[in-house]
Amino acid sequence: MSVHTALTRRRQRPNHRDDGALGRQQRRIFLPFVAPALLVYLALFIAPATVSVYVSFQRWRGAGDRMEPAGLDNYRRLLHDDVFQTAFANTLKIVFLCGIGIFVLAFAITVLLRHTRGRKTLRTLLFFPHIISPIAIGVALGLLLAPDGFVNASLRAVGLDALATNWLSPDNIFRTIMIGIVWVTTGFYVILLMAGVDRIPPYFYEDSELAGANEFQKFWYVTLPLTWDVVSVAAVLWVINSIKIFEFIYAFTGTGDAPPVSSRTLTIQQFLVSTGGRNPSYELGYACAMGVVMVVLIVLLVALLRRAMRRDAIQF
Amino acid sequence: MTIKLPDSPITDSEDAAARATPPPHGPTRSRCGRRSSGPFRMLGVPLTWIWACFNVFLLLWVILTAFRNGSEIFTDPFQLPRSLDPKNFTDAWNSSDLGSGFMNSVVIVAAAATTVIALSAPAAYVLSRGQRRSSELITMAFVAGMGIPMQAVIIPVFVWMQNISTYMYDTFGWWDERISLYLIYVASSLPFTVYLLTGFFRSLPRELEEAAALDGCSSFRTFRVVMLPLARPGIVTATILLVISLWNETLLALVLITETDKYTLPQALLGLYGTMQYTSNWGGLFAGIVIVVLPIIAVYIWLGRRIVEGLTLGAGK
Repeated sequence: MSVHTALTRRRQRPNHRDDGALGRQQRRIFLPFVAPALLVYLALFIAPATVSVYVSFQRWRGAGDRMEPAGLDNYRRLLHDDVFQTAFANTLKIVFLCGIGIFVLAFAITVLLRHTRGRKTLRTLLFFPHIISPIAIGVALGLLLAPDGFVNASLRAVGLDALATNWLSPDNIFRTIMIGIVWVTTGFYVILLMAGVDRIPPYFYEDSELAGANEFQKFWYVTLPLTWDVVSVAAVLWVINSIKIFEFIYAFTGTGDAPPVSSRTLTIQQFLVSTGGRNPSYELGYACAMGVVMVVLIVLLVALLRRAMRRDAIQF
Repeated sequence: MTIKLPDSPITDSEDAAARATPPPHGPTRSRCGRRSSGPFRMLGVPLTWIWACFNVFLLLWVILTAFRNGSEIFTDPFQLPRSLDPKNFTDAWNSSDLGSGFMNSVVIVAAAATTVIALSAPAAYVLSRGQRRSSELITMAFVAGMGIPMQAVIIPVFVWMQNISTYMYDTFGWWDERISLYLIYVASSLPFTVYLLTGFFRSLPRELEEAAALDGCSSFRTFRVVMLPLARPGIVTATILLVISLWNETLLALVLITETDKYTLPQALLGLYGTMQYTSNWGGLFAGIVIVVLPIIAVYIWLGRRIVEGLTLGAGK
């Protein structure tokens, strides 16, 4: 630990001409080592992101079309676009409703698995849908939940006809999608939280047991405070990743030519107003405005989350 | 509120393996009996098992259905396949774009992953060893990229790539949209990979570099001969995570690639899904899902622990 601190201190020292040959050598390779990655990143990621902000103030249909300045028109249009507002609300529903579901389940499973036999097997099995192509999962679930699909057929076979509904009808589809997202994603957060919980020394639990704490008290007074930093990182990750979800929903809604409005999120809607759908409409300025809204949403939510979850680090 | 305890068994080490190993069960085992009587556990453990079994069931259902005759799937959903004839697989591979999609995906993913590692590893190394303020700034710039969704980048990229291909067609008579896709895959994968590898290089001891320098090694040689082999576990993990995420990526492919023979695998699966709704050869569609999923399942069975460690390492800091 002390070596580590010493290194950190040395790294942070601002001006140092006295760090010998090693330091000089490393300064010499700094630029050639960093420049290629940095240039590609700036040219193909940061530059288009910046141009996106500019295009969001234009009216533009892409290559060959002259850009016309549109002022705030694109953003004003967002405020009056009912489809966009549904999409925005749906994205927020995923962030918050699915988020709460995922974190509650992930915590419950983490606590449950602390002393369950086969915890590694369970963790492995819960996690694997997360790394499988969301397109493949979406298509498979779409077939599983089709009106005459396996799920409804099973429900009818055991006499639960009342429960067999059209899971993919416009009224139900978004609810089904949200459940699907919770199902696919929870395993990932189980892994993150479990890594945090495993770092807690067991004598904390032994101590609290001697004091007569029940499962919930142990969770509330030991597990949660001691994994707080992991939880806050996981929450930030969820906000960033949930707003980006695209493939899963896209595959769920069929081939995506015209998914029902009720199932659209910001990502789907942006795809449809730019290059997606049967007859792409190439409203690029408008689509860029949506992209900007997504970035603002992410920055805002992450900032709020960090502020809400800020605690003094507990060292143990 | 700060609780400081002496001699905790696991200090905040950078070692992911230490985090991934569960705490010793020994002393607590004896109390398991009492604990399991709580209603939370009585209900929760079986429910978790049911969940896990459902995941396995879904996978098996897809694989079994892939061997069945198309129209029966909906008329008789509980029937098992009558034979293990791989006809659906050969059909899906040959008659739709899945075969070419598979090859396209393999080539694009392999090329992009290699390039990303080749660019990120040196950058991450000097950034982790950086003694200047600029290295901190650059690291921050890469980390910020993880928070920018593709949707905020994609429109200009789409137009630029259109322009590039028009220009290349006009000047050289040739361009391949798969190259455009490859370029964007590389750029968009850099933030996470640089971040992951920076964390990994930071955990390597500095003494080795000093020793190498004393022995007259140049910095470049030190990196290539000493540090790179040491960082191999980190690089392997980063590569697996890259391959998985690029293999599954679909949005950029949908936007940039228009010709069916250049489709990536997930895109080809979507195309197959579209036509199946008219031909109702559902068995072929299930075979298609298996073709998309199986490589990743194989990688997961083979290197699952690495994937889990990499994810916690990437997120745990």
